[in-house]
Amino acid sequence: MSQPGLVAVAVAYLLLLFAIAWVVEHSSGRVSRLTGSSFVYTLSLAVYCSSWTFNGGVGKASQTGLDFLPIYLGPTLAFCLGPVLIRRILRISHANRITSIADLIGARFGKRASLSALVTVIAVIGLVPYIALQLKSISSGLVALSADPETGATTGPVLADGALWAAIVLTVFAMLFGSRSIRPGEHHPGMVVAVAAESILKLLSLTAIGLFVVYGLFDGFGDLFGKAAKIPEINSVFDTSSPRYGYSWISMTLLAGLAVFCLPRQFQVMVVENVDERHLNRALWLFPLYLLAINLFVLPIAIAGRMMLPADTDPDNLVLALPFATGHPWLALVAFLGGLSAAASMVVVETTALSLMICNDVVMPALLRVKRLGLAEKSDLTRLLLWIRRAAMVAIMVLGYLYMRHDSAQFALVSIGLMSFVAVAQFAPAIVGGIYWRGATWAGAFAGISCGFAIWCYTMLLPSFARSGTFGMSFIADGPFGIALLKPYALLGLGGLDPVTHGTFWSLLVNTGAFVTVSLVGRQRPMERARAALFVGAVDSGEAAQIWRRTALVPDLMSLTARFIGREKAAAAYASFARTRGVDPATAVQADAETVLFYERLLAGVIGAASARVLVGSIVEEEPLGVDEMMRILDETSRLIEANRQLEEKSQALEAATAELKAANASLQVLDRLKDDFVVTVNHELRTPLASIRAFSEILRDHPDLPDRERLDFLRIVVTESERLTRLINQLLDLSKIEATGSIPAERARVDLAAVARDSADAMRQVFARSGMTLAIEIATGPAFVLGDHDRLVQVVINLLGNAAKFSPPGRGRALLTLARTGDYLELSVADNGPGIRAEDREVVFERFRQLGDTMNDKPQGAGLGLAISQRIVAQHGGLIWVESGPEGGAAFKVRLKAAPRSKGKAAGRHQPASAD
Amino acid sequence: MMLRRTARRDRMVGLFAAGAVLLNPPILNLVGGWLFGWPALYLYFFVVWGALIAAAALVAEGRGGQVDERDRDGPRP
Amino acid sequence: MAASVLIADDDPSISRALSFLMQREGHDVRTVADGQQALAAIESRPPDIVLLDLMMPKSNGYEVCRTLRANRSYDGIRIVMLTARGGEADQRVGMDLGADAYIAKPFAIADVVSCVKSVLARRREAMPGAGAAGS
Repeated sequence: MSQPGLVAVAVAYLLLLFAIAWVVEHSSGRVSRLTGSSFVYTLSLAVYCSSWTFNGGVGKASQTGLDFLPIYLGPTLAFCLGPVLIRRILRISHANRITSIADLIGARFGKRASLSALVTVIAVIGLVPYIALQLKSISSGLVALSADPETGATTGPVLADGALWAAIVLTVFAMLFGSRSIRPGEHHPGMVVAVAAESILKLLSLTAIGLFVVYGLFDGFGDLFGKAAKIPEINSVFDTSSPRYGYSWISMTLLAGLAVFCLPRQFQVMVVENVDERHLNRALWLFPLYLLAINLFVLPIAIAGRMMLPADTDPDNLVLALPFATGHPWLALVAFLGGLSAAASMVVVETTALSLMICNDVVMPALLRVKRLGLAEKSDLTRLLLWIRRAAMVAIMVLGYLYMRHDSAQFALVSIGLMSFVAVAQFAPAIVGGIYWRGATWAGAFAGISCGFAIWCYTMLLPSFARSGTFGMSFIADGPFGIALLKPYALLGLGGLDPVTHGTFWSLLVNTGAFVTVSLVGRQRPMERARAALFVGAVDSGEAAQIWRRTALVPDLMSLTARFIGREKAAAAYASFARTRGVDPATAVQADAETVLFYERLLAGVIGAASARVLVGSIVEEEPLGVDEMMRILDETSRLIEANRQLEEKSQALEAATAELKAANASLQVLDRLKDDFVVTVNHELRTPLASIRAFSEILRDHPDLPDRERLDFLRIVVTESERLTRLINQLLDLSKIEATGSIPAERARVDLAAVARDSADAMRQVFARSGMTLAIEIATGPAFVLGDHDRLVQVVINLLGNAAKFSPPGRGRALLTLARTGDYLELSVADNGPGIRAEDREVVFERFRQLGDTMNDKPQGAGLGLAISQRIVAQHGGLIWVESGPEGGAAFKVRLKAAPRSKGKAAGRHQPASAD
Repeated sequence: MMLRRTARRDRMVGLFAAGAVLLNPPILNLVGGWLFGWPALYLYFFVVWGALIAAAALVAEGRGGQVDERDRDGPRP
Repeated sequence: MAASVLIADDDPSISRALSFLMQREGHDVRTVADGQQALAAIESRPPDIVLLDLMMPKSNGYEVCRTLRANRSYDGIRIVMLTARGGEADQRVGMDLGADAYIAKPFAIADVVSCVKSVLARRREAMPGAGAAGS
């Protein structure tokens, strides 16, 4: 088959996939809901099986038997831990709108850009060989298929460099799938469905080859294995003579288990593209089942290839070569498309994920920090973002191509892939520690990852260059400068391990060691501690928002967000957010911490957490952590802060106490002055009648010659003034008694207010009759019980009636005493038709010795204590007394008291039960 | 409800432990040779692996809807 | 000897007692019950002497005293303060405001009579240099 023909088929196939993606993203029917299926999710996870699985696995199996299996057993075991580990990563990532593994690590350790940038750099360096591997696989597939079966020579000089063409085509497709538009949350449903379709094709293709081999070339498994058992070198692979599997097996299982969530493309499909956490439940077993299925025929194909093909065939091309060499070019084409699917999906997803990381965690934060560019003020950055991503994709592919050109001949596919696995496994300690260990610090993560990466470079990357001849094999054989302890494949003299196991052991050991040690030795900054609590404690997002107390204006946030995801999307997202919180999106202007966090996450979904933080930080008022917030976050390690807080509380309490004392002092001074006033007034009120008594007594003594009429007159005055004096003294005693008992009435018995009113009216009827005034009473209730002191309440009513008598015009004065029930209260009212009380005086009439000037008599009868005493008595009963305009223009004094609860026990026997309520 | 979910998680962890032991050396090295004309190790792997997946499916999908309900209800694992 | 006396006190009993005493001394007596009435009575016919209660409704004794002393045409009017408060501070305030004498309630009637007598006598002596008391 000609190369141009092959390339045309390949491109047509990729276009078909792209059409699938396009339909998914542009239709609204059942197709677009495909991503909502757990099967599509599971199949997209199978991007794990790259061309390395497809071609490299068979190649490895043909050399060493079942050694390829740990690569799939590892993920199976990792998925058994899914409910513990992967689900947690999912939740944290969804809650924080994490868009990549660099984002996750950066977000956990305080969103400082440098850490996520480091992760990104490592991921790119670590994965370039892996991408090179895919190019190599495609190009060698092209070469194998287009080779003349007779001569073995390739045809078509234009396409001599198949890898270059593969790189160019895949770059274009990666751009088409991964960076066509900016979407919130970085969901690429089209890409996911296309990857799922490719996964189906991979599986079908390999299964078809397998069936062809087992049942076409052989007579079933029994025949195949039976013939294989007769070949000594194959038989030896399966005998029990020596323990074949050791550290290498374990380390590969471990590596693969870590890679299944640390590889950027796996993180992309498993976490970022996940639309429903429940899909994980199905993937927990369905994904391992896919792995099992795709590996079922690997060993039979490998054995068959070993038996049927010449020994010099590239083992990595067995899958193609077997049908091709046995005269089934169409089946070989199916195999080629299967391999192409595996390579294409891997490259597309990987470059998409890597370009996201490069853009969001390295380029954008850097650009945003460069004030001169003024990016934070630019109105539309979506195009810039897209071009950064596309440029990143191109750069990654160029690197991959260069690596392949440089190194590709040296290694089998599996070895290159494992190198990448070890590189990304360096993220695992930080991730696992980050989500389970509160004490993990930024510095620890940084130290761990960078040390692990350094070891990786030294034990794996450098030797791979050395083996390709860059600086000689002596570097590997003797160590740099002949120092044996530094031999990259036997560091510190640790020999006997294969390079991958050796590199894995040292890099993860140093990584974890540095991570733990630096975390233990160092201290967490408050922000880090808050983040740790958020990740480890899985605090819900609302609570998390409170940690920062950031405020901003909604319009600012909106315009910022609109620049990255477009105004309509931003508005729609905010509207639905506002709805869930019961806020009117049209009127809310001040964004609270939770709203700010919402916007930051919305932005993070597009440009990554690190960039989003920088951007939002530019327009947000960020307050430092308050003591209270700190306390909520901090744990047992913060005893010092606790003590400090207590001190602060105590000093605050002291201040409060001082303020209270000052206030008390001020009110005491007021009381003191009031008391002075009172004493002065009492003094005056006592001296005045005394003065009259003394004056007239002396007059009577000194003037015996007075006429009888005048003498009687004077004597009457003396008697009256004496009475006044007595009354005054009695009232003063009353008042002091009431004030001394405070708010506790002398007695608390059930008192019938209706009886009190009637008794008081009877007592005062004489007084009214004497002045020719009338007293009417209306009692609208049956027995109306209150809790209190009978005599005191009588005193109040008599005081009020006396007041009415005093201020009503003699001869035509009318007073009305009423008692009524309103709800739980009893209201007693005494109204007169006197001059009334001006509104401004209605408060002061209850003050002691307050006598209003406009009395009907020249000389008020009382001492001015009656209302004051009444008010205190009513207050003691928990009631209210006030004055308003009476119905006939006079004053109406009202008393409101709470009705006693229904009688029970012995009190019930004494009275009729109240009928009103 | 919490108990059930915890139980499911614990069962998965149990499967992990069982798988880690059965699919790794040194247990692995006990299996070898040929069985019914097949490589014993090949049979062993796919039987154990398949059993592991079946068990995981039973645990993960067990009492289907109910499990999903429980997953829905809170952010805490 | 007969003088014109104005008694300003809101307590009718005391007012009555004082007017009895002053009439017995042969003076011409008028009574008022508050500060405003007192000022009005003074304006219509200035008395020789005012017996002024300190605590009265509508313009108390101090205010009446201050008003009188602010008007030089009333310099000749003698002021005797009557108070039921009896504090030394009140006494000084009254004297500072230009009162001629100060009597605390309850009083002995003899004291009132002799006080009025001496104040009126002082007035007669002070006649040639009218206004001296006000300075």
